[in-house]
Amino acid sequence: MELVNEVMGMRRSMLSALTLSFACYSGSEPSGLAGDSSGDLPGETGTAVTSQGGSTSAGTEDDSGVGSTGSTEAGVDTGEGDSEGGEVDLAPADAPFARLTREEYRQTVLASLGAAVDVQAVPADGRVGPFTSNASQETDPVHPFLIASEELARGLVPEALAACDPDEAQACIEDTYRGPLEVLFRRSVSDAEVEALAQVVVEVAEAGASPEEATEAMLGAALLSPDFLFRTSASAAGADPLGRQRAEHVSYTLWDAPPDAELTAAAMDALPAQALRLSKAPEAVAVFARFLAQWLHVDTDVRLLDPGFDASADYLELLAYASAALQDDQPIADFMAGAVGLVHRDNFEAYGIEDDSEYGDEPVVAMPWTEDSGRVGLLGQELFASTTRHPDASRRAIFRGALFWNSLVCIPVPSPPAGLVDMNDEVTSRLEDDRCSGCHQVLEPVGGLFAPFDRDVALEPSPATLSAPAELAGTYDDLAALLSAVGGSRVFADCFARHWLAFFLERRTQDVSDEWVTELGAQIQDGASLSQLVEQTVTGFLGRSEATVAWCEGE
Amino acid sequence: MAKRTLSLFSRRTFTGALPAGLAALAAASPMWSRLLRRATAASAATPQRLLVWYTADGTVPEWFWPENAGALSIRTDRTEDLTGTDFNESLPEEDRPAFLLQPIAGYADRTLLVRGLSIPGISDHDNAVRGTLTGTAEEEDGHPSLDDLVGRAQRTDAHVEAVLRTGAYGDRVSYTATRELCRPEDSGYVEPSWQPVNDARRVLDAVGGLAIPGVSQEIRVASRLAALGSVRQRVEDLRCAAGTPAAQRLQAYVEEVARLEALELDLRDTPTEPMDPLIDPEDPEVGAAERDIRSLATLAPFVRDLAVTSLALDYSPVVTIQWGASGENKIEDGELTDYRYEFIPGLEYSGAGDHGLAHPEDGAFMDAGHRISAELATRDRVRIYRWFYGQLAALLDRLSSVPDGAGTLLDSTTILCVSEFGGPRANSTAEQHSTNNLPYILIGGSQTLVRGGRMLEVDRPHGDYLLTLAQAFGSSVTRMGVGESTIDDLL
Repeated sequence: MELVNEVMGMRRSMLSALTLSFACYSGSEPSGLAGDSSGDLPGETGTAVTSQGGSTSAGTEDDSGVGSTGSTEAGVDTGEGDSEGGEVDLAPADAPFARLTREEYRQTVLASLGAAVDVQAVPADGRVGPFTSNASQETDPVHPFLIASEELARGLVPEALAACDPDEAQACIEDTYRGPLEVLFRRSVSDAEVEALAQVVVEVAEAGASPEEATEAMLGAALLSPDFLFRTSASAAGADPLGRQRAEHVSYTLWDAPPDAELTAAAMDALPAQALRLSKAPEAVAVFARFLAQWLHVDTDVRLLDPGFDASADYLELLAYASAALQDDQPIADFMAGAVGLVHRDNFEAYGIEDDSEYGDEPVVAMPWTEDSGRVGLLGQELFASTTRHPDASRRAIFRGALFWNSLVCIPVPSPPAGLVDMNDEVTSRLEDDRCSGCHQVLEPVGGLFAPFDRDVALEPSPATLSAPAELAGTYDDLAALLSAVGGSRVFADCFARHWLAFFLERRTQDVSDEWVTELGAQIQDGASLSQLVEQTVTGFLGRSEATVAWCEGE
Repeated sequence: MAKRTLSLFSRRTFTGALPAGLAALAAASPMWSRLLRRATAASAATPQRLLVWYTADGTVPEWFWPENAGALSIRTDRTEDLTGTDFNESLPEEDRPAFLLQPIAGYADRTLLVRGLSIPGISDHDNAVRGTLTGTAEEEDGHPSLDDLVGRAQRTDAHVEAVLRTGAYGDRVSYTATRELCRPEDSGYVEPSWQPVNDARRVLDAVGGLAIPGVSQEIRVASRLAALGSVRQRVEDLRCAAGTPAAQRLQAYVEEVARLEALELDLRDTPTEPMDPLIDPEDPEVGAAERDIRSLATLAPFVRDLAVTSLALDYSPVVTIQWGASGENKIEDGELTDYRYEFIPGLEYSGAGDHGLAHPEDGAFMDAGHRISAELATRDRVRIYRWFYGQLAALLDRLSSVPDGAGTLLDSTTILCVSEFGGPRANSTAEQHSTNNLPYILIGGSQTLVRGGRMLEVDRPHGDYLLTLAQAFGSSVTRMGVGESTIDDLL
């Protein structure tokens, strides 16, 4: 009962803070959540708070959908069971029916056919909130996938996969293609499906095609099939389609890849242990690196389009951080207040390290954050400092403050109304002008604590006083003190849990179950690591799926 | 992997002998022999085409607008050298009107400017962008954008789509809402794929197919029909319950599959002729340019020619090109890193991009060592927009070189240049988001409704302007956002 009262009390204080934040720009109508009519947290629109100069964002993006037809609405249209206000009972049937992302496409083709794919030929991915996902797109561009599938098939037949004689197409597919197709589709392939694919070979051969051309057409059809392109497969085939769907969801979420043999063979009640295994594997590092970055509004999937970013010091540090967090069972709270950072040799200067003689030859080294550096936790990593390091040093506190409120404690601060932005030349002090001070007095003291991250200017941070949320009320002399309190707080734990579930389920943060958030938040506050959180999440995933009804009847 | 060659098989039918002059052109340029054949088709009606050309973050008004309304002439004698750091001050004021437009001076007689169009009550990127082609002032439901209206009005059975939307780098430089220029009917706002190479592949594939060495057109069509049919059957076999996420998503998927099947059937039933298209989506340099935001100079000609190809080969009657987006500063380690315009000679702040330059911070950036003064911002924006109008001129030249009917493709094409901001003055903090005096430009040929060589002075919402165009292109809409009446004398 005490825990419930505590939780309800925190919810009330959060709601109070939310109400306060909606009206923090006085003299204007409450503009709701910043920059988005769908109700996402402001950070999920990639729009940070501005003081002047229009909307600026610290180098982040998140889109609700990208593609030739695109979609504007963040969030998942679940058809049945539309969510409202986060009160959603989750079940695997309510997990999104999403097109594979580029990376999932690439890895699935690699696993099944052994072929490397140039994902430039594949449409770009969308976003749900800040996270990479194609769950929210209304339509899928078939044409580019058609062209890509044909090219892929031509590259594989007959060099890697034998061409089928039309007279023996069924046997050929059975012998040569069933295995790869079962990995491609992430399930067993029925005799009827083999027969249908064989019919493609026959039909094309009858039009005058060679066995190679006819077989290419068959493989192209498989690569265009919804059984490949969408997850989770809608088919009801197999002894345990629900278990298969869950395994697939877990595998793609944690690895961007189809289930491996061990996961495929595992019983449903072993799924949490399998999820733990997956989280500890090297394949999970890049995925969790993306999650951490996108949670903190650095869209590494966009940054990876820039030549050289994949080998950059900032990105390699992020990968190393994610790897260490997973392998060492680092408590999630340490993401806030951890005393150790991962530093790439090319970034020594950025961190103020002058003498590198003691750090060996490894490209990335773990080293304690020094008190002088002011750095702490994950936010101390240069990637996050860099993307909030606005050229105008006087503005950095705005973006860093917004990051704090939106991503760490889930209390959104809206962007200023457009009309107010245009009056900014009348504002001599954002912290004193009545039209701005309500929000900026919330944002900037907190954001100012990050000043020691910047070596280009010597700004001495002032203590920051928080009046909300109640759990964090108080005065903090430096960032370490603040983030230490944050890391141990329930509000952070719930906020992290909410973002994590949004990532796991490919939903907007407000569409995940409050009850589930509370459950996982408690575990985070008790010291859970990422891997442990994964395991607990999948346990909850199973427990909430018992009433599942399959979407489709066909096999 | 077998490399595609780009022997394009035509969907059209040769209907008669070519006139001598055109025959000579055909002999010199087999690329357009198919198009020339249309010149002899007595029954061929002249289609109306629209090309929307969007650049972000407005213009430099003092350097864009002619001084006076009335007859429009654009001088050609002003400097082309913008590498100096004082031209914004040294150039006499009387030389500044229409300075940005100098690259299109040769088309002044086809150009119509209208000063005084405004988006009422808007002052931020998101709503301004979304209103630019829809006529809305606040984000509202149910107002399709002009390109959609015109595309649907002008689309014939010969077209594959109503509108081809393409663009470069927008998803790399700004957030979603600032990229959503277009709104199809019964849909939310959309943005292009930002993958012009893929856009080109599907355009070429749809209008005639990307042929494979050693594979006949008949086999290609048969293979594709078999594959698409198999996929359609597979979706039917799944029997997904109505209203489920799977059913909704797969219904849209199978509709797309069916559309592609229809294209293939059309290809199968039409004779073909080999030809070379203007664009090569297999060019690795273009592919690399698509990824690298520093390579706009390489990518831009490809995007221009993609637009021309789409119009010329009747992929769509409308093409919308979005040259990026604005509303966000790309920041890394204390620097602005939107390097799209780095290649422009003389550019003084290469990382600022449209947005950084449009919001010079009155010395604050200068104090931080970033030196984006209002004067610098003006010079760089003049350089950038001059470059874009140079690209526009190249597009117009290309359209003028493509035979169409009895004339050229330009004759039946209207180009609409748009941007979301205007303002009486550029680069003042009070005018950063001004949606007054939007820099809309119409350029049209002899067979369009554009009466060029003019500048009009009005005081009208932009929706009226868009409504006028929509109705002129055959749309039945009676309102476009805040636009409820047409502008007399516009067309």
